[in-house]
Amino acid sequence: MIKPKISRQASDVAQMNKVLSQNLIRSLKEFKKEVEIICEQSRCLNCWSNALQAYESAKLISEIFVDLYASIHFSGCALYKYADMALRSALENSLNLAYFVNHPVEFGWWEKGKEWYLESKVQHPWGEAYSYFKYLGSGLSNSKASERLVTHISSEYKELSKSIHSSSLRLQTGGAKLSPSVDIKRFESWSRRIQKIVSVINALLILACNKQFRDMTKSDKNLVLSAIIKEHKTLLQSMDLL
Amino acid sequence: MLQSPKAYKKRLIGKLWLPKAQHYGNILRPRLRKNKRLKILSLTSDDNYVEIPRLIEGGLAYKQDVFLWTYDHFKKMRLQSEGFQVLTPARYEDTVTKSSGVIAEHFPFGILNLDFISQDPKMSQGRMELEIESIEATFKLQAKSPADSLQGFILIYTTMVDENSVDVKNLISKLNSYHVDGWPGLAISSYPSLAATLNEKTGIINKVLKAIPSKYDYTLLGCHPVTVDNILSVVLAVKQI
Repeated sequence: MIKPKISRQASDVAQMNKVLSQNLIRSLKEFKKEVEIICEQSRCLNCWSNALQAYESAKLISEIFVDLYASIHFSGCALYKYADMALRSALENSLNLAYFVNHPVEFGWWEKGKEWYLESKVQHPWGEAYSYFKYLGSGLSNSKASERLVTHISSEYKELSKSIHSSSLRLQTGGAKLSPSVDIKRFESWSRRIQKIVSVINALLILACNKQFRDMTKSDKNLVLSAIIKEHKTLLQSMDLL
Repeated sequence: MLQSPKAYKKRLIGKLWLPKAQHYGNILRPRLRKNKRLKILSLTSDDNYVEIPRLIEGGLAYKQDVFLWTYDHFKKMRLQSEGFQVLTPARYEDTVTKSSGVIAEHFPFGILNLDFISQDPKMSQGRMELEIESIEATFKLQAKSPADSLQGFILIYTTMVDENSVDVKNLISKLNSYHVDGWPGLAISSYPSLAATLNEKTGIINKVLKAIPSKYDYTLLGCHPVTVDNILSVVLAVKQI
């Protein structure tokens, strides 16, 4: 096969592919177990996709999936900063889904790019300090628990934002090193973070779509629950949501 | 039990799916000799979608007219990377019975390959009943969709027959809840309450599948069941009356 010629400038861009591929293969081999767990936990999105398919906003689940997928991929390639950016996007899309699933009209506006909350100076859909999500739990048996869950969401969001806002500890490059290289500590830290985020996403969806969660098949419920960490599960249990 | 989970497909394609699809393809589209240009919907898997090249090579469809279905996002991504159109990642039986509006725009199809085994089903009580209900819902969607020149279709239903009994009474009630003007409904008294053995289950499934088409003004061209170990596959071909 004849390789199509590319310009010198284009080849400067393409050369990064080589090192990223090497990193990816190395990460997938070295962190095989972690990657398997994360991929398995990501499959809980299939359950939500099935449960919420009648809702227009369910299309956001594919977006969340791709965010998680991109995060896994970036992390495997040793692009840790970008892996966090994709994770924050996954969290934002989950917050949007949790809101829009019960607000189809606003979803229609949002889909068209309309930011009505700016125009009419009303609150952002999530509310001041995520108040909408606190409100979701306000009528439940333990409303304090929903506030604690929101605190978790908020702290994870802040943590991920450090990569967006270029916090000194989250830079992609280190010292003179320009080319991304596999870093066990950074991978492990990302691995813990993504598992927390997947847990938060599921806990949030259980809070916002409890009826749909309860209507899931036993195996789907179990898959969703397997992706939730103990701390979040305890909060959901105390609100009688499981 | 089958030695390999993938083996069933290879056997069924050669033995049942392809020859019957070609036979009825000729009846539905007698004038098209080179390619029957049938629009296909196939429930399939990312690591075993061998039925698609076989149906294409068999002159039944072009690749651009093939729509695949898988319940899993990773699998959807992999199938899309092979250049296929893949619909909603969800359980087909849930979509078509509860949220059919999501997929209605893609109907009608010329071949519907409802291979539920490819979707890694969980063996639980009520699974087969829901699959059969989804066939009723599929007929409803096919009949409701704007008429095309085909005026008929081929439906392939493939399922794993497990040890759970089929609640026939409940199934018939479910099917009768799909209202069609002038249709008296299936007579519950002519069906047993439960189907427990492989023979009873295949017998009931065949009886029900043969009864559905006339409800939607289709005439049955043929119904061909085959069992391979504990797998049942039925090819049904219908044409509008």
